[in-house]
Amino acid sequence: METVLRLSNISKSFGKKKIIDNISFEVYAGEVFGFLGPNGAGKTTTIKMVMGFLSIDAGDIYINNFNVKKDYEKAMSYIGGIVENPEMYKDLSGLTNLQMYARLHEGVTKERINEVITLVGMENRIKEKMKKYSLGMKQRCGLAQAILHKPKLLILDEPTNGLDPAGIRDLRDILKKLAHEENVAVFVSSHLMSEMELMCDRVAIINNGKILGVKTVKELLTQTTGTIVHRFKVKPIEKAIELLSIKYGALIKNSTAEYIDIEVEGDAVSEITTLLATQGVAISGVNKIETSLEDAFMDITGGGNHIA
Amino acid sequence: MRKLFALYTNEMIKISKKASVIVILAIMVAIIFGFGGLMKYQDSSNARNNNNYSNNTEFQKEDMNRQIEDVKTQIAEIQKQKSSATGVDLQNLEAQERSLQNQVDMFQYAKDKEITLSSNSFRAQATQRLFSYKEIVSQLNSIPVINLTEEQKTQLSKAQSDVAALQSVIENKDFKEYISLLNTDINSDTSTSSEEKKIYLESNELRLKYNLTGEVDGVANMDGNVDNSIYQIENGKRSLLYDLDYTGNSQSPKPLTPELRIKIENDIAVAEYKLEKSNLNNTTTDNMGMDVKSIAMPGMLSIGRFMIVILVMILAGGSISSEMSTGSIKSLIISPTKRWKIFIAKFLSLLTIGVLAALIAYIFSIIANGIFFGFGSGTSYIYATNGVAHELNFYIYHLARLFTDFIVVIVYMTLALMLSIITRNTAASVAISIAVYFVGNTANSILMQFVKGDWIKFIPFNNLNFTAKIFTNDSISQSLLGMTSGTNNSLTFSLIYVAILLVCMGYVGLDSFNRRDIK
Repeated sequence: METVLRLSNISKSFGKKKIIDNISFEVYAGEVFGFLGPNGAGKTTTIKMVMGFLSIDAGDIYINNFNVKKDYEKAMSYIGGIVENPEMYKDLSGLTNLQMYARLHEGVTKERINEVITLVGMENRIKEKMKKYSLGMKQRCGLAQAILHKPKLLILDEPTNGLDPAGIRDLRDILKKLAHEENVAVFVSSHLMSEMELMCDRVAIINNGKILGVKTVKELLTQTTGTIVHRFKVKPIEKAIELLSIKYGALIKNSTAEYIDIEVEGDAVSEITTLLATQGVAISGVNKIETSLEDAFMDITGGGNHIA
Repeated sequence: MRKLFALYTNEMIKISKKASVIVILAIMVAIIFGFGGLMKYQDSSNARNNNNYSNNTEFQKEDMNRQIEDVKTQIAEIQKQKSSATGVDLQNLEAQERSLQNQVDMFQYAKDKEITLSSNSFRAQATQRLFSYKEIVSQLNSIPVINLTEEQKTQLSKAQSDVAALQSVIENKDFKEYISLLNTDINSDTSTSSEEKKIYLESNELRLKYNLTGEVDGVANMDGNVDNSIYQIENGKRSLLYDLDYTGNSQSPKPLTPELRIKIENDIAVAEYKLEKSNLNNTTTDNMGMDVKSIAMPGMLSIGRFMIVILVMILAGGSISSEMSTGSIKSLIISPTKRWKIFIAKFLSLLTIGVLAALIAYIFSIIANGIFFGFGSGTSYIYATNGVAHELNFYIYHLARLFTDFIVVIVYMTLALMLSIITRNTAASVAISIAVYFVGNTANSILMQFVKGDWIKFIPFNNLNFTAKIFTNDSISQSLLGMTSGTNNSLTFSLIYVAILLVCMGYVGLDSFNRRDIK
């Protein structure tokens, strides 16, 4: 697998505060790589270092094997991306913005510009001034700009912000197509885990400036599939807990005023319902809770409560 | 280079879409025309007043009569005192009375011949001389002939012949004869060296050559510039002859420095050239005159320059900070370009806008000047190198002058650009640079009143007036030099100083931009 982006032992401080603490990972061509973490974990800071917005305190970043510190322009020529919001010149039209950007890259033809505009579905309004665009349209323009010069590495920071569900689906399709068909390394950050689950091939999880793990989505999900949880909605709850504590006490994961989560499956489920029913506890519902990437993420980051 | 050019092109596109550029340029053109119109109005009202004044011979006669009355009352006073005086006192009073009577005669004479005594007319000068000789004659005549010494006798006979000769000059309006009389006087003077005599004789030759009678159609011409040129040449030549500076304070002349010697040689060449030129054009004014017409063009251009400084300061002050605050800088940083290229591209695009604005100011000033004063009305600039005079066409001169002033524009532009990066705040950087531009010069000239010392030559404001340093023969920029700068730093010093200043400000800005984290 071709490594397009490699971070090795990167650190960054703002003042005395260490925002990024010795992180390393690689992104390969042809994959959608998710960069997950709660707000303030250091996602945007990392991306900004990769894109040359911020200086690098320690460590090296290689893009297509060019060191960002030494071969800045060569390294940057392989990157396309949007950081935070797509910021373009509001007094100029979308087309002018794209043309200006194209001028700074080699080999971007007129046809390529038109092709990209069609791809993001902006052909009708591309000649209007940017300030007349909605956030969604700005996002599409930003994406058009990001992929204009056929970058080997596409970096998108929180790309689904401000997109409607249809827009999110379109974006997902575009990114998957770019990665899997055109062999682009797509690097996406988000705190929307459900979205990442559908979009990414691999994810790195970051919290408090540290990488907690880099896994494929499949690995992450199977890691937690050993524990299948069922939720029992019962009344009265105290009596149910008392009855179950003898046999299943260790398996009770969680209990509220309305339900009890128990780590059981198969026969044990019917056993519990029979037990509760015979002892006069009213059961209003039983359902299986799917473990999602979000849960895996919560597990790993410790609930995401340590917002820096 | 390709990338730099691409960045530059993008910057130009961005600036061209800014409404503020168009607005400021429109205001600039409007003010240029407004100023031109004002000058035209001033010029025509001046002309009206002048006509009223010079046509009013009645007024002049009245003035003359008043003076005669004045002197007459003085005489009456002396006559009163005479009745009680004796001996030496009486003689003194009689001498005074004679002198005053002589004055009355002179005024009367001038009135009869319609000569304006206060003018540069040769007849006015001849009249003054005539009556000074007449006074000598009357003084010597008051002494009994037997008591006269040999010397006094020759003096009397010379004065008498001079009186006759001058009277004939005035009667016949004979300028040539007047000059030859002056030459005779110079030649007979034994106290001056033959070299100095030569200088005076040459001056008279020039007067004769260009017919500098100080009159037009027998009426005195109030323009003293031509005569000034002659005196300038004369003083210059004397300075060169004795190696002492007579061009400044002639009471206590200082020895010439090599630079001053060159300057004086060039000044002489310029003055001679101007005389020649005004003779050819049959005009008496030259570009030393401070009349309204000659102020119009430089005035309009300095308004233009002022607006250009404001324009580039506003653009430069926001060029990086506004992109940082709107976030549009990100689309620049994302592109594969080193930051110094972005900085240089921004600098160059601002420079281009400045140059374009200067050309617009120049073109509209020419149009305004042409409309209000006529397109062929400008006087060319005359300067000299190595003692040879050259002429610079009016239009080329003002273009050159405008672009010399452009150095100032570049300095303020770089300042605003640097502040824009350091403060990251458009309002602050524009406000600070405009404050420096407006208050700086004034504060500096106030400072100069109190502080003396060598270090004041290192204050930036004392090194920005390049037009006054380069176009030394332009009276307007010279007067501005006197107003704004107390030190006379040499052109080389100022150029090196400004170059270092620009490099420093540019470096600080660039370094700060290179290190700046885009958050």
